[in-house]
Amino acid sequence: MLTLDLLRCRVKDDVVTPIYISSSGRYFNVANQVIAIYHGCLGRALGELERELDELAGSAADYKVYRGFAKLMADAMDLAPPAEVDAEALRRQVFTLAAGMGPLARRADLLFPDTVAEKAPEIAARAGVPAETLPTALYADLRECQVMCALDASIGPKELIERYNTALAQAMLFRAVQMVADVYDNYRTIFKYLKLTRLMHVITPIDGGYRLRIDGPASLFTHVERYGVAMANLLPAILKGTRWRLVAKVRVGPDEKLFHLSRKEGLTSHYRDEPEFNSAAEEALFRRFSRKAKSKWTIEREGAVLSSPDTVMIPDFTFRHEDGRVAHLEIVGFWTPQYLARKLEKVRALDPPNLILAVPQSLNCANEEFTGPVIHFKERLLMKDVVPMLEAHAIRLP
Amino acid sequence: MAEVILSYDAGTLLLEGDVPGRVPPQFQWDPRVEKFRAPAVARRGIHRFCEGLGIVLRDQCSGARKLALELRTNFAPREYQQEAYRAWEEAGGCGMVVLPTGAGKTFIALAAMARVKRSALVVAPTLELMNQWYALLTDAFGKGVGILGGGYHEVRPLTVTTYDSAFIYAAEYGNRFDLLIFDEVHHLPAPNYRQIPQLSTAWCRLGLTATYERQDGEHAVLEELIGPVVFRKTINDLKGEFLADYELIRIHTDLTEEEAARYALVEKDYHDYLKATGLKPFGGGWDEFIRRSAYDPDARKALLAKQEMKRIIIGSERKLEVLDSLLKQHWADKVIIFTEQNDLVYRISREFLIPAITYQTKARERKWILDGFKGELFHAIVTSKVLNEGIDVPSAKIAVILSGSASPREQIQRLGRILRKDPARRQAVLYEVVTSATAEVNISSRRRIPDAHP
Repeated sequence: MLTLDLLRCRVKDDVVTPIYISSSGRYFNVANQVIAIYHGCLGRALGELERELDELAGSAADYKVYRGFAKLMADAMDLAPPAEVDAEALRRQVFTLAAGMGPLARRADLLFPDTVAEKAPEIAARAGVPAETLPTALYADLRECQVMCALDASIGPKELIERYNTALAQAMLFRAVQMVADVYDNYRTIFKYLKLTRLMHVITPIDGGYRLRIDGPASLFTHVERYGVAMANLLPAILKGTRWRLVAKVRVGPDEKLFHLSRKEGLTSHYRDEPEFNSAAEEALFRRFSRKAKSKWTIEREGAVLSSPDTVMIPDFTFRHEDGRVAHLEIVGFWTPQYLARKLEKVRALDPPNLILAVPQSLNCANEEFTGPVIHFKERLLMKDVVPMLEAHAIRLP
Repeated sequence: MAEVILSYDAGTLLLEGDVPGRVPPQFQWDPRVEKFRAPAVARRGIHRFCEGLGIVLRDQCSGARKLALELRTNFAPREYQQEAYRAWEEAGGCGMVVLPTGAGKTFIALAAMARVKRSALVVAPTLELMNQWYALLTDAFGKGVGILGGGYHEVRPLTVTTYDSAFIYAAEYGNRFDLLIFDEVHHLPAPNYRQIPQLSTAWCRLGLTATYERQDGEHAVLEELIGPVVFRKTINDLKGEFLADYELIRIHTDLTEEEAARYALVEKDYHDYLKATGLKPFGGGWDEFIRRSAYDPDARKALLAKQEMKRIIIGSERKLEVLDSLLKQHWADKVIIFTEQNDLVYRISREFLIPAITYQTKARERKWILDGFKGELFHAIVTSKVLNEGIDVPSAKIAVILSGSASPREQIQRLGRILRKDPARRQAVLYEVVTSATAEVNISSRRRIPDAHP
């Protein structure tokens, strides 16, 4: 990610917009140059890398773009200490030796005839390093002396610019005090990251999707920026969706401005794709149902969010009938007893009348553990078992 | 009887169980979870409210532990230190103590910890100060002390941290400590930092500072989050009584010909820009200049020129010559050399072969260097601005500041280290070595360079 000082943005009236860059413009060349410097510095000290980057940026007014590229490349490199000098041990030795030689002057005179320059070879010899490397070896553990030992070579200029634009939007969110996201799919990923980032949300259904008002526990009392980093971490999860838009309240100086973002900015996510299906039973049912063109029911994977103030559940499938009735189906997987207990607790807490559980017989659980409608199935979950249950339990949404 | 439960949630308090008809006024209804929520700092007030109404409160919010803490070090506290501690205790363990740098604020912190005997967190403005508190607490209580910040993430019942790290982890560890100690508490009113006490359930709070007043008047926030000023003494109250006098000697040096030529070149770039734009390089004009440098190539060039001017002045060769002669002159005294620039610190360390302490120095090596300086191993050490505030530097007689500019506040805090009362130390001397870029000053000041061997 970028650091906040590298953020470039424009304010117009109530709106703040990051200055995204195009991969077809002149920055393509700059990205290429920064990448070339990084490749050229593989195996060399950070201090040298810094100097080359400084030279490239020179007095360019948009040096923040250069620095931004460099920061993202730096995120893709590994550092190692130079050679195998234990610099701290060397310092202890050298300073102790030097202190033991009495006052060492920089320039000799009558009272102080011994100089550092004259004594350095002897000190270096006793410390076991070549005299000419003593000045560098002494502080070999400083950050600027660290050596770049590995670099992700797969990043090309186009990808670097994509990463930059996403990182720019993330940096914009560092200062966010609240975010409202309208999402229409990709729920599992979004709620997974909402939980991971420990953000809080209020969810309301909107046409075809949900509106999430996102902030944190202490946001109730004051507008605090402390959740901005978490919101920045959530962003790549939202970017995974095919339809979404968000608006964040962002602190700019003393004011709060609005930051709008949607798919049309074309930002890319570096978060990994979730597996499409969680189990073979899930996948098989989806394929069977999707093939039945004449069914009055349509099937949607993870197409709804069931929620209460305490919990959120995204059923595996949501079925919608032509007449507007809706039912959800959750396939209880083959996991640990704790997993099962948690799942059942969620179902009980939410208790939606139109949630149907599908339980494999191999799971060996007592019937009384389930409260709502349940389908028991052997190996394959069949349409003829599912459809009657949908007809029986689906309800029309208000 | 109805029982109300107070629990902790990421920097806030939730009211659960049998919620009374009259909810303490600190709480707000949180529709997101359908519960009453209050900021963690409100804990004391909530207790008071419930006591007043006879509501039985089961407080489950704190994760702090009881500790067997005994001060191992044999302190002979000064009378005013005792007074300051007692004033804090009488204020119910919430309040701020204002004492000049070097007057021994750390004693008050240790006494507070030994009194409260529960998990405590010390928050310091810099990694350097955090390291110092780490060494101090380890010595004082003989217990393992945790560190949060500077690459360490180890939280223990006694932990030291920085304002930055404490802010980041405020919600995570907000209920782990029952005593918060803020060193240099005047940093706290910054919007982010004030969340540290806001999101904490700590029952007792102590703020320490030498400079209480902030220009922005935000220190009213401190009273709300920490408590009132319970004790205050100025440098004049203590001078003569407890603090030694010091002598300030300012030494001017000039640039070498080569340095002066380079300086003139970049200075022209800088001044040409100011002249062309009419910008004044101070106050709002300076802010405008920095702002423009983000998009205007000429401003950016001028800014780089200004930075190089500063580098030339600070790292000038003659300055190192003066340092050489001062080190010779005081070869029998303990000398601490300060400079703001890390590059210069390492240069001095390499060229004089004396140990250096910067923000990059790890706690273990730092302790070795300071111990060596306290003992007889080293007579001189060099350090960067990380030691600027309140650092507990072992007794030194001579300080040398290699500087560009000096603000009055920084000056006082730096002087504090020399001012520290030490029976073995008579007259302390502070040398300020200033490089002037103009020829006139040099001529008049050169004869003020002290002779190497008086």
